[in-house]
Amino acid sequence: MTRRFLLGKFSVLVGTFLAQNLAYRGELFFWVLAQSLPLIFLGLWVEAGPRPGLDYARYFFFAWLAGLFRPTGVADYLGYEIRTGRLSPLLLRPFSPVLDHLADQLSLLLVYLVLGLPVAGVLGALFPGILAGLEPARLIGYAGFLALGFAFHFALGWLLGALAFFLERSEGFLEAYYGALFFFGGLAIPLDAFSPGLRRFLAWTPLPYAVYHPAALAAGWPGARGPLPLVLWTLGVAALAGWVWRRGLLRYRAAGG
Amino acid sequence: MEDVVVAEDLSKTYLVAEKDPGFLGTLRHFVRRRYKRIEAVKGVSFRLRPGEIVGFLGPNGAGKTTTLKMLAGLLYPSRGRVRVLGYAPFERRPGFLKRITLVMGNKAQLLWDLPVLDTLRINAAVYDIPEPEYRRRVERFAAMLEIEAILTQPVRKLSLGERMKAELMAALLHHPRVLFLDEPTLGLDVNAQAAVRDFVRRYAREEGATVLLTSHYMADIEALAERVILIHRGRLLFDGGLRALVARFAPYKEVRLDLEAPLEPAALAPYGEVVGVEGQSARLLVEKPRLTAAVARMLAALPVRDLAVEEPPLEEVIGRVFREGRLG
Repeated sequence: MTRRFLLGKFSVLVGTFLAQNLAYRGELFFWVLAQSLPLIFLGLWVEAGPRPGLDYARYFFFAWLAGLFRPTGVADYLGYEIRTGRLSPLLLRPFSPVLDHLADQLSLLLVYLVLGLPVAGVLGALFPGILAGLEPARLIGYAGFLALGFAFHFALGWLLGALAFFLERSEGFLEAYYGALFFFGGLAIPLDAFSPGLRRFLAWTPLPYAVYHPAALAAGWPGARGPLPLVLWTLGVAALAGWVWRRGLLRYRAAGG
Repeated sequence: MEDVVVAEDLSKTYLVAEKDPGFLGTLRHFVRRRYKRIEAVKGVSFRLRPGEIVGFLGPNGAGKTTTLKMLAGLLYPSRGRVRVLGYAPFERRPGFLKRITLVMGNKAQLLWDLPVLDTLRINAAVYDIPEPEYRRRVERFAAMLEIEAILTQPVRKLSLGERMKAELMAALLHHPRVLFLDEPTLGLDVNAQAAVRDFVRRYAREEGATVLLTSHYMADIEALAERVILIHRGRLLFDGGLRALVARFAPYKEVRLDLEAPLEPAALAPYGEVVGVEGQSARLLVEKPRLTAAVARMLAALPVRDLAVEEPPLEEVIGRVFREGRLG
């Protein structure tokens, strides 16, 4: 399969899933509300931030944006498809169901970014200096972090979804992970508010690399780290997901029918 | 010509978790799972030649769908050998997937919230169908199935019959050479059933496709298949022509009686096996060697207004085979 062919197929899938994700317009409004939670913390930290030298408005703006680059439905949908046998039609096509899900998540990301524009506009009006004087190099680094964060969370969703071949339900872990990400990843609390010991521990986990470090980098905060740990986490989780997926297919029951 | 489908000693065993009802059962199930071994398919062997349309019959839970899923590459066989078009199905190589299809009456590939054309467009992309060819195929299939008008409507707004037709269209868009059809007419009204049957027959004839079809409607089997494979409790019972099946498992004829006055079944029993009495009509099965004598006795002794001798319905024959569990 040549790269051109693969990209052609992929763009058709992304376009179709985009149409599917836009089918229920009312739901999207509530999604915008749900995703705006970090912005409440923006207000709190701007008013009560413990370190006056740091621009909390800029940090939380970029943390909120980084939070959008987090595929959320992969584990749920994949687990559901495996349990109910709805994976079967996808397995019968000469195209990996994993790429199907990737296309779906990319189309969702497009929807989220478009819907996020009005939110960003409101923030820009409330905090006029939020995007002023941004360094291009930092923005490029930030964009790279976001792409990596997207890849990591997709691989994690794939791994947890594929566990449904063995455990039937595996979404509980994901709930716990997202809870940890919210509090220890930088969406609600910047990492520099934690003790040095906790920060050292978190540095070994993927948690701070998808939101905190990219947002800190873009905001020009000191102490932002490079993405190498997240690269290693992504490669490790993706390799494990691939292995679980292949083993799981041997156990697939193709329920129903 | 080489066989298209080869199944040898094909077997599939599942482990199924068992749970007792009630709170205690739930507690026990949570602490310690109990599993039961289910042998869904046991040593099934058969071969399909190019262009054959074969009916695959059996009661619910007989192992038909499991066998189809193994042939299509969805399930990994526990034992045995399977080849379809020379491929090991479970490897799901692109060359294999591009030449087969599996249609399940109760499993949809159509995107629920979008028009049928969106699913077709995805299929055209993933199966590498060039745009002009894609348009030609859509036009041709839509005309054959008479669903031109519904292609731009969301799938969720379609009737069951329309959905099944669209499902078939999506499943055959890549022109597969081998069709595994699992209850394609399930729940459809008589007209929709006939339309689906006609489409499958025409497609198979024009494309030279091999079809393995399961259905609970004997009309499907009689209309499409010359050969049937019977499976019961995971084992093969019979593999041969429809006529051979009737000859082998139905050494009797059905006698239909139209009587002057209603009779009790007991009064008809001496002439054959009474299979139905409704008012002044009655149906009996009579063994072929005794048929002439039995008909003569009935005409002489009963108030017969009309009498007809026919082959028994296929449902009757197959139902009898399954009830008696007669091994071929």
